[in-house]
Amino acid sequence: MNISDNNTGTNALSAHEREIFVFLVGCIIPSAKDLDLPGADDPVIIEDIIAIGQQNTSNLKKLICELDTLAPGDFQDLTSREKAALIHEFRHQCTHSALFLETITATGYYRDPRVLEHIGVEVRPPFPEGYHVEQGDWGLLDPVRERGPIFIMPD
Amino acid sequence: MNEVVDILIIGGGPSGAAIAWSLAETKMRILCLEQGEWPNSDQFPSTGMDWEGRQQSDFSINPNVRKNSADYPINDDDSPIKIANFNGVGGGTVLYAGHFPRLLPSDFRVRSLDGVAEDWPITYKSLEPFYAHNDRIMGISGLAGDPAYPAKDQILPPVPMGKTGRMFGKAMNKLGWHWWPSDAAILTEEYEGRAPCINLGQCLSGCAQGAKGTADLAYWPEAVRARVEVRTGCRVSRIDTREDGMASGAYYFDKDGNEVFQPAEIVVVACNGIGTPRLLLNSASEKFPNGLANSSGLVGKNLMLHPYAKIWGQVDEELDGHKGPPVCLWSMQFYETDKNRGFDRGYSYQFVRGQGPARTAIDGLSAGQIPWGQDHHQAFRNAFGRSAGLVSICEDLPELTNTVTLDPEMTDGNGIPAPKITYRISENTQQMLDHSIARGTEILEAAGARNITSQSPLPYAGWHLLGTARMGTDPQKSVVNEWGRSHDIKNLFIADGSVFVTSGGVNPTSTIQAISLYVADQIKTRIYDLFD
Ligand SMILES: Cc1cc2nc3c(=O)[nH]c(=O)nc-3n(C[C@H](O)[C@H](O)[C@H](O)COP(=O)(O)OP(=O)(O)OC[C@H]3O[C@@H](n4cnc5c(N)ncnc54)[C@H](O)[C@@H]3O)c2cc1C
Ligand code: SF4
Repeated sequence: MNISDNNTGTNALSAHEREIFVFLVGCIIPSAKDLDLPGADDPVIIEDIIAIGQQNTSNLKKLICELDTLAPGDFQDLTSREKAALIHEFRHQCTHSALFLETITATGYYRDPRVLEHIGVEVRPPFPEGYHVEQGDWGLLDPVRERGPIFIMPD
Repeated sequence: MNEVVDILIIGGGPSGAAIAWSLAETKMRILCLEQGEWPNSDQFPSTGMDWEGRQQSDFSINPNVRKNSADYPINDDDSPIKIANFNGVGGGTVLYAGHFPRLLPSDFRVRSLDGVAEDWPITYKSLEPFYAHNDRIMGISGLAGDPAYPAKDQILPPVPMGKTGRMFGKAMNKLGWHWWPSDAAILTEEYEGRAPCINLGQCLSGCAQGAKGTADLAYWPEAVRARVEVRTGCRVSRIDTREDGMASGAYYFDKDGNEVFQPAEIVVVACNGIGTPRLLLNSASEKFPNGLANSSGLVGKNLMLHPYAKIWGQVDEELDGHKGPPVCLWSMQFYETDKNRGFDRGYSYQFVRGQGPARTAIDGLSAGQIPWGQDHHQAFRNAFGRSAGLVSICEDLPELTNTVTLDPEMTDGNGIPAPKITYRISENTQQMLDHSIARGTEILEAAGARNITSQSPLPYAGWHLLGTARMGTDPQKSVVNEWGRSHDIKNLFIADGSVFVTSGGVNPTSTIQAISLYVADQIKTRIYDLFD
């Protein structure tokens, strides 16, 4: 395992670790050609996901250690059946890291402008424009009013 | 050594702010020492595209994740519920949801009514004027006439019902159960020069609009104008005492890491239900070997955290999603004791809107509702903007075994021992959690939801920190008296949630601040025989 100490840039992952990392991230959210949606392993999104992961060094280190243990040999040599077994093992034995990977993957993926546009979210921060929420009709409370007080007054 | 002050307040959260504001009219020299800084709303997550990501890093509600320089680590390994807080001027209100219920009258009389725990030495009626005053200063929105409460004034109109509120309101009507718009510390109109809510939906990571009733905006500016000094970046390590057993002031680490002594005539601790016992225990001395104000042995005991259950589902219609204050409605249907339910006391429900896209995906993935692989996209679309739910806030009864102690190894950046939490969910609370999931599922079913899931207890929801220096008239069974003064140290006061005798089943900040204003009022009215 070799994660650089300063944890900056993508160099924090060795080529081998990066390969498994990208593979797993792409398994969580693959591209959908029919929807014209990138996968989480899209080159731009993956950099963002790695950057998010690097904000939590201890979790990232643990994840990388586990990736190394799961696939010690040459990842490219694995058959698709072996890769499926690797995913299964990762999700069921490395639950903490799997949760971490899901979290950083979703965080990076669902702020990519292409993805946001596709799901109908305006590509802008919430502030300063804000949003509209309908007021609603508080007349709906009439039955609650009619039933009268429900609290106990002890004194 | 610094110049002596009349009143030293430790902690600049909502309790410290309220007591400082109230005491300011005495024209005494008042100083607040706060370990954090003034929040800077330009930097809040909702101002940037990475708003959801920052909720998991520098704006995490969990200090052990956030690790800002103002934070201190908390060893909560021995608790199923992890601690959430914010350390800075405004305290937890900077990140809170602003859900602002009061305790109910029965909460102050649980021993008399239900034979559990202890009665409070004060009543709802005695706190009522302070609740009302606090509501006006914080700027509380809500709707008068809630049959779950004694009458109270409406200050601002309620937060919008939205599609989510309408759906739940109809469901509750179908079941014949109580619901009402939440009292919320969220400005629905311009108020006292503060801007109204624009439905950013990001209350839990700081309101960039300044529309949330936070202590740094609602209380501190006026207190500072009245010449209260807030000294930030100052972490108090211990309170010192004189020969006669009275507090003489406190030692703190300044921004440069120097330890400085601040002398004071009166010391008020307002560091919350964990920070306060931590400080009192860290103030042990030859004269007070078990910690300060601890002759009862109750400092750090009876920690109550309000276990939450979350019940969640998906519907066909488009709801509000992440837009609008997450706070929406409440229900007190299961609040008062009903012995037929198999547990004492009860819980409230808080109905909440949906989540942002990333949070929707993260929660869906961890609940197994949004899968890995090609089906991810369709499952995400079913959930995003079409999910909503409710949380139950369960009354936690005091237990001596639920504690805050000092960790023998862990320390903060200044080398001060960190707090260690030991906490178990009691059988009574567990039954309440289970009951709330069953009823919550019925509510979601009545709303037409599918894919209903629940989580209990919510693991990262230890944000109500109560009971660790309880109030009472008997010095052997309480840490402070019925007006917040330590039984042991006659010029030491506690003004935060530590003094709660029981937790109730609602969010505590309005009660914490009402108590804080009440303690200030007692100090002012008893000023001539305060130390007798
Ligand atoms: C994410 C989240 C959501 C919440 N939602 C709600 C809600 O909807 N409704 C509700 O009623 N409540 C809510 N709460 C709880 C609410 O924030 C607290 O009840 C409230 O802030 C407690 O006020 P306090 O003044 O007692 O303590 P705090 O707000 O914790 O303030 C204590 C202050 O003391 C300072 N301090 C501590 N130790 C020291 C020291 N040694 N030296 C110097 N300074 C020190 C801290 O930095 C802090 O600023 C929420 C909390 C969180 C974290
Ligand atoms: S919803 Fe309203 S109170 Fe909450 S962050 Fe947005 S503007 Fe502020």
